[in-house]
Amino acid sequence: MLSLVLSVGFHAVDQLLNDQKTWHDFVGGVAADVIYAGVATAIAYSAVSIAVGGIVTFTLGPLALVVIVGVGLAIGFAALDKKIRLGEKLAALLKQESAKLDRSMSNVSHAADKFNNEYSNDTMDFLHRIFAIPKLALQ
Amino acid sequence: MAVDNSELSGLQKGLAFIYSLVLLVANLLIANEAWSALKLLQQTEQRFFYMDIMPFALAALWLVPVMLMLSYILLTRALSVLPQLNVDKLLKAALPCLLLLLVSRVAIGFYLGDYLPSKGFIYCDKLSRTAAFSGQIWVSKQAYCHDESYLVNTEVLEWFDEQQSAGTMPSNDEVTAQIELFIAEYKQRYQ
Repeated sequence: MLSLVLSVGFHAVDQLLNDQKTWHDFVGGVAADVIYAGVATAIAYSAVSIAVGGIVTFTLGPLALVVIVGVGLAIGFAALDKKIRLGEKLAALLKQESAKLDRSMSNVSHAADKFNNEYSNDTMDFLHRIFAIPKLALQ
Repeated sequence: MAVDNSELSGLQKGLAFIYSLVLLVANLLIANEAWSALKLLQQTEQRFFYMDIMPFALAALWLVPVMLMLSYILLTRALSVLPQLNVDKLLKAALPCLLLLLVSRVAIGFYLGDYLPSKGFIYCDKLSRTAAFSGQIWVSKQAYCHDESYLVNTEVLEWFDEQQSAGTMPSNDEVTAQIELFIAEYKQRYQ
């Protein structure tokens, strides 16, 4: 829980100090921290429970042991993350998808403008084309 | 505190074995990272571009004995043939080790803050990753810490590594030009 609060704080300050960082970096960074902290906490709690032969209670020894194992695993994950760079990869994925969405929205907007212009220029012709109504002329 | 292994289910024994291995790997990672940090600190003259130091890895050496003991205890839960260790000693050692970790982390922070600047290194937050336990990047010249290099820190550090292993020493202008090229490519890709 504490690492999640710290993570959000770290990334929020990072966002404030570096003006070109976007929400993608914030979400990617916090998500990576949540994944690592979640896995570390789950393993720590479960491992200590098995070791002490029951559910970890709120007594100082077992709790300190859970914190130690959690911190140790988190440091191990941080060492692995030097190679993996999960937060940056998640941020890059979000940026790519966001750029794709922007392009799609731009295309939709362009198509809507085109329809609007065609409708304004020649309403009858536009409706004929839209509903595939054949043009019948009486001579 | 003695724990009867017959009370553990097959799943718990399996988990105990897996956790034992996970803790062992975590210990190896911490020890490797601490060893790398110590080696880097002794070879500051040979680092032309930057140093990536994880202060928490050095402080976490206090945790290694506790985690190794827990790893062994979990192994004894999985494999009943091994002689059992007393968990009480581990529980008593946990809190002092945690306090030692915190005190050491603060002390190492102060030490690095004095030692590395005396060797000509400057802390570069623009290249360091943003996470509680991640490493700190110290650069040997201010020019290597570009204001916008946080956008492309992976590319910049990899490029520094390539230059270091090739033994080339580009000028400050060349380094700045390369970093700005990475930034321009990044902006073209995403902005």
